[in-house]
Amino acid sequence: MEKVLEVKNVSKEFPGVKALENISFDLYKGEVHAIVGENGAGKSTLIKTLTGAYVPDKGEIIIFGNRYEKLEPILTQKIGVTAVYQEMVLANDLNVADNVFLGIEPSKSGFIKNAEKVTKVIELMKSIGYEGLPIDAIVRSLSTAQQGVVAILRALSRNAKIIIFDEPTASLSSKEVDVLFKVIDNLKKRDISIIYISHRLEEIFRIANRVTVMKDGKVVDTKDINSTNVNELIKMMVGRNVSNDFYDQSRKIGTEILRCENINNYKVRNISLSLKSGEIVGLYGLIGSGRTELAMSIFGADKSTSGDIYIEGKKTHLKSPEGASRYRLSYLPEDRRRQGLALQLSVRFNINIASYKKISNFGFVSMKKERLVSADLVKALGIKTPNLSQIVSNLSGGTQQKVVVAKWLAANSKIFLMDEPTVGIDVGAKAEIYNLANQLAKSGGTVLFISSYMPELMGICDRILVMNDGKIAGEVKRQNFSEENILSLAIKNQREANV
Amino acid sequence: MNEIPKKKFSFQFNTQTLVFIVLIALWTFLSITSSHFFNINNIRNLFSQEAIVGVLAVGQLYTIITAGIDLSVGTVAALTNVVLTLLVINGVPIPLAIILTLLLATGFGVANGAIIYELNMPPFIVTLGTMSIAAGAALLISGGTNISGLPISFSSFGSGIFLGMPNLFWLLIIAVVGGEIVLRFSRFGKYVYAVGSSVEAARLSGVNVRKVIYGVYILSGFLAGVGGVMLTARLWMGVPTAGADYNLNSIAAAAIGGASLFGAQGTVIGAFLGAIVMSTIYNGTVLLNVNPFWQEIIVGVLIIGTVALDQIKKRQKYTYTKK
Repeated sequence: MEKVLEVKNVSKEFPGVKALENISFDLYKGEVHAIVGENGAGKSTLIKTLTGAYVPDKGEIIIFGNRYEKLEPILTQKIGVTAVYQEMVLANDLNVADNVFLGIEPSKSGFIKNAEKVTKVIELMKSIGYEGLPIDAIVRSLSTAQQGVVAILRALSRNAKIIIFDEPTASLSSKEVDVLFKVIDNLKKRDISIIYISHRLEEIFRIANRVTVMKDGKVVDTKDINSTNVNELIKMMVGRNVSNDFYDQSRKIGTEILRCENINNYKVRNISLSLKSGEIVGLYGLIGSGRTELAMSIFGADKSTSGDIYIEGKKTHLKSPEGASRYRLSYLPEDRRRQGLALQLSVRFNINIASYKKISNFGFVSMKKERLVSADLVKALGIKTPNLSQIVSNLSGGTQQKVVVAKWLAANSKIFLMDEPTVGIDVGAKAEIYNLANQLAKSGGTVLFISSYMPELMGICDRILVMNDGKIAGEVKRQNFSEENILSLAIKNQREANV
Repeated sequence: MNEIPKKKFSFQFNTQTLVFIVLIALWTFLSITSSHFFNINNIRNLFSQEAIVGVLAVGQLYTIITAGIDLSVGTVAALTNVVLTLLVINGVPIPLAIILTLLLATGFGVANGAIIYELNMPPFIVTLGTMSIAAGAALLISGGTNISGLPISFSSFGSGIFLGMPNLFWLLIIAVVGGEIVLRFSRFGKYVYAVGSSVEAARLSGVNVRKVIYGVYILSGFLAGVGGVMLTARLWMGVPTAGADYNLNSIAAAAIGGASLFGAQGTVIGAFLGAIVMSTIYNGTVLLNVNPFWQEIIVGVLIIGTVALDQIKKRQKYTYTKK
């Protein structure tokens, strides 16, 4: 069979991380080659290297027999490599035909030949066996799957011969997935080669010819789809050691503080969980599994929530974050710069923002208390800031995260929902965040630690809840911690996991 | 290392300071070049000119700090002026008439806040709409002409002097001091900055964003009403087109005084100083016999100049800490 693409010994390093290490990978004409791996295994970096967004430090890429040491986005498009991303990059307010031919409109002296454009789009739709798309519909009004088809049409209009799909089914219903797979089948018949990245292993067995497993920036193995199975793939994806360095044995697990029963919202279904004082509970799940949505619901920040929440045994109605914070509940958002902090304002302000009620009389804030509260917490948490008037946008990621923690300590919180608290933080500061979580639990609080990074969860948690497709797929106790156990709950489809 | 330096009073070289320096320079310059400038009557005149724009600028500033804007303040003031005049000449007792018109103006604020928050619409568009509605309403009920016939007590209050300064100026001082205290020391004031910095962060920190948005537009509407009452006292009649300049002038005063239209930045004192700078320029061009059409050009340059300086300063600061 003819090789259309070959990656040879490609490495890419970012400060502190080896994102790709000696990657070799190939793609045949008309095949679907799947790439699987945990969050952070290096799949996205590989794609970005193939589309020219990143320049590899070492190695070479051969496309259609031509050798490239580096690619550029314009060049890759010219030679026919296109990526269809999870979040589509379409002009949402233009119609289907406009989007397909955006930038390469058939035109005569500056005026677009509309009839020709429409005919061409219809031809393209026929060629992929998908004709149900209204050509003059505004892209925004289409379903996610239909938008995906528009992106595929756009790729084809540019004569794409290699199409890369990055998690194309993450937000599709099963019916929509069938539609997409039919399209992919037709693409295959037209000798278009496809790189297909997905967390959903079952899907891969439906459409892929071969599968490559990546881990920690390396290729573990490439297999023919017929000679492997889901369990083998999971085994290949895992295999890191559990570190006990941050586990605090001296935490005493006490009574239940938070219990959620049958939480539902637009994303999560029937979630029940319970957190005890002194406990650190992990919440693992792949991207799109509904972890953030669950935390938002518990915190009262999602209006579509139904279900019951009990705090210290008492049933509560949390309709807003304002109400939740009164019940000593707190949420540390994943995107701390946008959601966690008032960036242009001072450390003092940010620490007090959730607790101004506590330090004010008749609506007026006690400046003295405001200063004392923030000064105390800056000292207690070791927040590295030149002074309390420092604007937080200039602080480092770890320091900013501590400011967010301080904000909730000032508000007397007891239940801490931490959403990816160590994302974008350097190693040393991560350790400080782990210690902080231990301290919070030790002093009678409880922590729900949401993370995509399994080693850290296995490092500090007492047990780990695993989310999969909006549901809790299972719970793993500390003595049973293994990446394999956790990942199989997170990846396998629900029916299988429940057996 | 762990000791946090306690700053009792942080006096940074910020935009307010800059505007203050500009103001001193302007006053010094005018005192030297014109013998009429530093004359008590001229100063009084300058301050009563400034008073109305200043009061509107206080409310404007609150909306700007939330990253919003209130384009309706000037025409709401004009509408207040017309309605108040009509009520009084039709026999409604003055205190009752004032209360009713203040309620009307506050109602515009409630409407602005409600539409902006509940329908999640851009403040610029919403208040552009209410600006037009208020302007039209003022013309409609006045028949498009000036209405006279107010009792002399209005005029004597408008030109009255208390402790050596015009009455209107003292109203401005009340608005500025009150506005600054609330903004700086009250919980509401803190939340105004928080919402301006990031609505999402404020909400997820337990701030009731609805109250804040309603609050700033209601305050702005109310102060527009106060401005309208002051306008009535100053003009001694109902003038339906009187508010035209006030909208942009109140925004200009806030901007010159260091408020950022991106939100979370600005002080009432700054807006107050900005308003004085503008009145000084108007006053000075008249005294120096400069063609009055230069006024707006100078103000325009000043707006761009101060904001540009602020941006340049920020960029330097950023690169400095980045290093």
